[in-house]
Amino acid sequence: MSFRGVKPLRIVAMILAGGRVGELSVLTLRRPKSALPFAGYYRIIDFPLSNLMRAGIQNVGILSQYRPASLIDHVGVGEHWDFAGLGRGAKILPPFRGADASDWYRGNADAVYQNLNYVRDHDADLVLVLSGDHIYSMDYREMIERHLERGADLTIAVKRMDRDERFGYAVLDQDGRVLDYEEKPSHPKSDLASLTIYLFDARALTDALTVLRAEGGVEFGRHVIPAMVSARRVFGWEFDGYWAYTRTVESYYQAHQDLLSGRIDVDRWGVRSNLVDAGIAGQPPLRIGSGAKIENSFISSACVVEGAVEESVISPGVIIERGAIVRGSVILGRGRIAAGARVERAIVDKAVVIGEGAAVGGAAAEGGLTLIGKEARVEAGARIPAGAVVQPEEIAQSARGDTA
Amino acid sequence: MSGPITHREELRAGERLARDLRHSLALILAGGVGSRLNVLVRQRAKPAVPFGGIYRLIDFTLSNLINSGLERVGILTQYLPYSLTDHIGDGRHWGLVGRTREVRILPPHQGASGSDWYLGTADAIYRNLGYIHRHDPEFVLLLSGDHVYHMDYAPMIDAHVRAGADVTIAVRRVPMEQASDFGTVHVDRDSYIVGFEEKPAVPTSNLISMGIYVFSARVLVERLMRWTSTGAAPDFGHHIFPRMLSGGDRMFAYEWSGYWEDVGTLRAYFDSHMDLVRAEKT
Repeated sequence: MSFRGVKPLRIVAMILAGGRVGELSVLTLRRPKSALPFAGYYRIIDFPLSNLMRAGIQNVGILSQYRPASLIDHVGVGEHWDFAGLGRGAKILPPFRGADASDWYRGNADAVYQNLNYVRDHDADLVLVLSGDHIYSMDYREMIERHLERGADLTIAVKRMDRDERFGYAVLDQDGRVLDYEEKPSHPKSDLASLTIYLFDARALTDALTVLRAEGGVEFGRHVIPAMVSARRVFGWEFDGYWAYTRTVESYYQAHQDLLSGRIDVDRWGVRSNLVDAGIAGQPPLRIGSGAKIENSFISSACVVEGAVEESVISPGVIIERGAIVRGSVILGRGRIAAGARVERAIVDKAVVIGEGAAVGGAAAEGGLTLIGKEARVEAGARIPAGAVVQPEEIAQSARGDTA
Repeated sequence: MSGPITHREELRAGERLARDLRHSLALILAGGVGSRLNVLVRQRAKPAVPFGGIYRLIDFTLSNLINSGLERVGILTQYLPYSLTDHIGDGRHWGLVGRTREVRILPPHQGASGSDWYLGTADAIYRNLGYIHRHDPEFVLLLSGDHVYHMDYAPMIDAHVRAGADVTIAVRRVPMEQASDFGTVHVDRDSYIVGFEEKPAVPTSNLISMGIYVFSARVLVERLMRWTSTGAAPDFGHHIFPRMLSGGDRMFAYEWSGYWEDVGTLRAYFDSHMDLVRAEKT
């Protein structure tokens, strides 16, 4: 009997975390969407990072080019997701200038192409490409096992969705092989949408990106996948769990509603975060004052609640004074809602002060979601109507009527 | 297996091996007195004996483990463990800290049955069955903490699985006149063990056990419960392996020929240092 030298399978992950989308308005002026705070203690990127941790994938490169400071602070060396130590690591991979005219990332596939040395350096067999702005709990091991069983070059996680033009759609045969793929078609031929979670054979990825680079392709959805479907073994792997992405202010708000209704279960999902960055380390517990009234909400440590909180999600360090009412809102931390102020259907970024007796937002019938940018101040008694946007560091006076 | 292995088969085998490594637990026997090392072991356990300037002997085994992708380690101590305990710390220097990784010092302890000092290698493992149970591994790798060598344990575990073995013993050839210092094995043409003798006065084989064993955990636990719990079989070489063999267990020999030195004597300890400074040693 003879034994060949079998090498334990090596998998690296690359998280596409760079993007800023206009639809997120003031929330992403100063941070990439993957660094958006979520559910009190977390940032969105905690979801893929925690999925990776639970799958035992120990090397992750995070591709970021838009204002990555908060992402860098949050991820650190990855110790909170067990990525720190010999042979492991979470590494931010910013754009760089190399010997052969490297440049800004021109698309998600181009970003991975420019970091193929990360794949080579880790001698990876498989490369899992993820997005940093998805909220979900997925067992990547299942996807990996199916990928290996099928001898796939690429496996795409897909999910049944309403056919709308936001996604790429795949047509699968009965073995799960992708017969046809179209990115953001106006008339989808299937209801299986790509979740932009890709598992590549490392060699196939390297080959495909090298060819594509020569042809000027820069996007997975528009260029890489269509090219691979015709020439390579590309499969779909159907995921039927909860999945959301924070592409717009509305979807970000909706995800918080899903948190309150229990569809997102950060405890059962085993989501971890950087609690130092979240502002919890060294801070006292939540204090609930005698006049407080709290219903169906997530309220973090280091908050003080003396007013009323309903159907809301509050990050650490927020003070809600006596007589203040926070309803159907998301408050992102270190802020103060002064006595008698009222906040309804609003997303309030970090370190915002809502002055005494001020009124921010309103019921759905009155207009859209109200956004208050980071470090803004709403003056005492001011009225910020439903659907309005207050810019970061703005001092908002009374009677603002203009809306976003 | 015939024909060239395809890329697809290679990846699947790699995934299985990675899974087997995740489901393995390593136990290092670090309790020996090593009295032949004389003054070097008056105040420290043999695995804590300094080596090569900045190392201690156990560094070789710990480094082999992390380099092989094995991340859960128990170290069984008994004799003068202080410098060893200080040296290991929480294991961070070998990357052995984290959610799924650990290195744990396992000192002798008194249990419900009036536990006592370890009576031998098998007895030491028997008395730490609780630790094995807690980790619930598929495979248990038993190692010595005082060997100088550089070995990848992953292919040995892979060989164990492919051979369908109950236990796999790492073996090597030595000059016949040295064989009586070790456990000697006879193997058939497929490398299954057909004879085992611990330190025979007149050896009939120069294929010796390196004291590195891979056990299927279920088998290890069952055999120790059956034989060692009664006090009748405290040692692997003297008691467990002969009984396994006569009982029909599948015992596989994994032959390995890299540099390996059990620095059990002052002479061997000195020679190993000279090997360090000489070039061209494998």
